[in-house]
Amino acid sequence: MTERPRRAVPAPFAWIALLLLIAAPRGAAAGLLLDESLTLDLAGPTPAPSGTKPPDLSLDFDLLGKPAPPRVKIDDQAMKKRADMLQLHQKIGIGLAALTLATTVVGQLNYSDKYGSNAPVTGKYEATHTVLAFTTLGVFAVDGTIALLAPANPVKRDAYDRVTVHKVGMALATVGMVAQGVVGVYADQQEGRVDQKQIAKTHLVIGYATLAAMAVAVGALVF
Amino acid sequence: MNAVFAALSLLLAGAEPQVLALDPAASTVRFHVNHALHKVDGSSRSVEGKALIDPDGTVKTMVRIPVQSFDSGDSNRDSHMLETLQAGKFPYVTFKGIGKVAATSPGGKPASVMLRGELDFHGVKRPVEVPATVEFAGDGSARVQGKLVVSLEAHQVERPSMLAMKLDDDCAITFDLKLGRSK
Repeated sequence: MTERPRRAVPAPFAWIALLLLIAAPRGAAAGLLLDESLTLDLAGPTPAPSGTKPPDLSLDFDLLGKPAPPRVKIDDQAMKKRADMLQLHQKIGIGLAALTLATTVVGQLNYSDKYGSNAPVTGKYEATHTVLAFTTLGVFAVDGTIALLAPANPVKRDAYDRVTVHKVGMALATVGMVAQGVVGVYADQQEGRVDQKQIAKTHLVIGYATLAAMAVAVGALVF
Repeated sequence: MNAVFAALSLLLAGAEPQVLALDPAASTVRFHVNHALHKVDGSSRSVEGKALIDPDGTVKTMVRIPVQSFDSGDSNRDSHMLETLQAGKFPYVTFKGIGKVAATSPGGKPASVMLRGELDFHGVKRPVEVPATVEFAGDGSARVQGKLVVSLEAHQVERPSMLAMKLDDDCAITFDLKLGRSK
């Protein structure tokens, strides 16, 4: 029996094959293919291995325990009363702003009628101005009292905020209102005297200042 | 790749659940509501919270905020908010959620996570989905950011009104929370 001669790979082909293998891209190397499968994706669904517990998705857990008592004890009933009173204060305040504006406008017309020209004084605004002025004063007192009697704010902060502007504005307006009442009545009593015009002018200026203080106070809350 | 393993090994070391606690000083929750005349922004820096991360990446989280800690920059408005939210009866807003978080390399791109859970607000618990991003740092701490919109009426909050105009129903809440390893 004759042995078949082995077919040897010609040497040049063997060298070419070896060179191609060395020059091949990294991913094509059989030993490095595993590297691609090491990317982990925890965000995606990960099938639980057999025998392991599925993740507990119940919200029946408490990581924080019992909360500490709140810093300030809030009385809901007092807060409700405060809110109701301040809502009423706001509604009356809108009417008060309109009344104050009307009083000032009619006061200006009254002043112009009396001292604005050499034309005869008609006095047609006087009664309206007086009624408006005393109504404004009364509503102002009621509205301010409602705000002052409302239960205190439990979360007072030191910061300077809109309410501070409102309170400062209304405090100035209160001074203006009182001064208006006093100067207005005094001006009325000086009928026929030389300095009546000057007193009336002072009353007018205080009126505009009071209106401006109220406008700032209301504007601070509205805008 | 090595960085991912580093973060993973920090989080999942020993295959024990990791507990991260919220750092209130470095965390903020903000809210934004609209009124026809005002846009109101407020925030709380008194947030407490924890996250429990299981070895498989499942994260359970709980965040609690005292209602009276929200500051809109106007103490009068804040007192109205306390009245509206009945802060005496329901003093906290609490969120509990579960999600699955992917590890990211420290300083790398934040991972997205959808936290599905429940928001207890004004004493009314409602299911909620909160999309968030989580960024892990090399020391095992994490920064979590996200946003959700809450319907006031769905939580039976009577919307306050000013000059006969009610506040919008949507309350947008954004959060930026810093969590560190719990000691």
